[in-house]
Amino acid sequence: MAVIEPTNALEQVLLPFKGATGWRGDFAARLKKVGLPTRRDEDWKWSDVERATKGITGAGKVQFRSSVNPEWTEVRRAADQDFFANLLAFAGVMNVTYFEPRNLTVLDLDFRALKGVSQAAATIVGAPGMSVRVHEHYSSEVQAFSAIGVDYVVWPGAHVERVILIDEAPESVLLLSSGVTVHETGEFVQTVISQGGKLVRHETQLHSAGGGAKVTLNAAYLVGKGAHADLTTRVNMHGPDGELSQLTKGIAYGGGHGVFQGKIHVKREAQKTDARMTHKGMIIDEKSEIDAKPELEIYADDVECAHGNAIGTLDEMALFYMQQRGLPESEARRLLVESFLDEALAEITHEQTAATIRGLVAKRLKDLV
Amino acid sequence: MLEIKNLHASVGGDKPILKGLDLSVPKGEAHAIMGPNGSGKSTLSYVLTGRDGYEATDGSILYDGENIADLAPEERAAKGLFLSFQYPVEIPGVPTLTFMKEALNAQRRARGEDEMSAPDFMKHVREKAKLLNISGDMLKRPVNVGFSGGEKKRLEILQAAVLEPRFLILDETDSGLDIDALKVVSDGVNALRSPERGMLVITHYQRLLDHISPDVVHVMSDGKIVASGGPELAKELEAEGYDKYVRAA
Repeated sequence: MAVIEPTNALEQVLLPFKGATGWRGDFAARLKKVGLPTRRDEDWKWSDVERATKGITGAGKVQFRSSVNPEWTEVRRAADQDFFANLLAFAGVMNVTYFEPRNLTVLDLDFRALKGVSQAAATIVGAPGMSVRVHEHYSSEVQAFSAIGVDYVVWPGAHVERVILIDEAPESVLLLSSGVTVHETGEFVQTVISQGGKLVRHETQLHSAGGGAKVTLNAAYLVGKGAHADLTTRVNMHGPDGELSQLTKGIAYGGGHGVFQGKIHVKREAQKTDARMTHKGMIIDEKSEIDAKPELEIYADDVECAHGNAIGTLDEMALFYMQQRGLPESEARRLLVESFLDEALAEITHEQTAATIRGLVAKRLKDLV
Repeated sequence: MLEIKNLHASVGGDKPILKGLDLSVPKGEAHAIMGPNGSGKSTLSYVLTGRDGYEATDGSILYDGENIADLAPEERAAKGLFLSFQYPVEIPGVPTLTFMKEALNAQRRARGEDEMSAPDFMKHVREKAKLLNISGDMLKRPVNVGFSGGEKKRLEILQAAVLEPRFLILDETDSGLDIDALKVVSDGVNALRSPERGMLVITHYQRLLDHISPDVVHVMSDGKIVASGGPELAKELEAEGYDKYVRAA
């Protein structure tokens, strides 16, 4: 019998699902029917995966390295999360890698997607009362399409700080998804830095139990020529007294495209929720684009919730002020842009990590100025 | 030192604001420019310092004999031209100290001088800040962010003291200052007066000139200098207003 080689990304994605049953089979059937997300899907209206993955095929691989060995691996019997990017990542792997750091404070994870189509998945557990910092780094070869899922469970009293650095190659597509569950009195602080990539979508779907749970979701994106970054979050506040602070800042230049979609859903039980979401974008030139959709959906009546969205351009007066003091225009622009993004990096506690990230951002900004 | 001849300038390419302005400020002197709203005083400060959109369409701006009208703002700054802004601009995220150090060293590089080391810079700033009642805490905060009007103006003068320009343009440095702050700022400006340095003080009011005694007072109206005289001219304007000059223009 002749083997039919996949001719596009969707066929390649579907290949490992052959004969899959249960939730995997259900997902594969759905995927086969509806295909990869396109602009016609409301959730993906600014991020057309089908189009971006055109021409990418062949079996790829995610090279995964971690600073310590995982605690265990497990076959996932059911879909823990119910959103496309996460299902795509977790359904595509048989064994999910689990980390539950108890005796260390820093966990480094490195994901490198090789050319072709690939999936990878891991779950990090913040054990009760433990404090852990996780640094995730994503990179790729050109012409890679990877769906990677990294879920988090934050148990009561656990403090998890997560720093995600996405530095994708041009012509590569990354769908990075995170299903996050934060239990009462747990704390989850996430900072995403996304730069490069033909299409990068980082999607966080978070469930907060309330009861003193604190969540911070910060992100900075930097998109230049040919790059597309999509920061999508959905936060579900389930119980009372939960806190959420969210700040996303982004720069689009040279034809880059930035997307922010943020939704906070406050259930009727989640009284006394304190949730704030802000997105600020800076469009440097007319070729570039930023689209934003912040949403609040509130069913509780005693809450403090706010969202804000502002998109502007470089402050010409500030630029002149800096030049008047002697800074060359290019340096003034770089300083303005760096300082604009910097606010979103404020929650990174590890100084060396923050310095490394600032260095990478500065390097990337060189082609802006 | 500063020689402006028949300067014409328009804003945004079409609207003429300066209409044949002549002005000469020799080094070591402080000249005041007074004039009603809309006479072109702030435009003059922007044209002199090279703000985008404020183009000289005719005439010349000679600074030490060199026409600087086509130079970038930072090139003029490196040559020693400093503008104290009427509305100092906020730069969120950039600490004041960092900003001043970057600016000073950028100017020094442009002039082919060695950069100032961090310890030398700190010493240099501390001396100047003391005179202007500026605390170390204030210098750690982002440039002009959350500062009161008086603090912003003091910070402008501190920047001048740190950068040590050769020619200062003070654009309504007295606006938004109470009496005490006016004294501190004026003392700071007076400390910068030297035989090697020129100064152009743009103001609406006599009160700043009580502290900074100018050598010459000019009246500006409709984009031109319409009268010049000694300090007594400022007193006359304070008493009689600009009316006769506006009509003459």
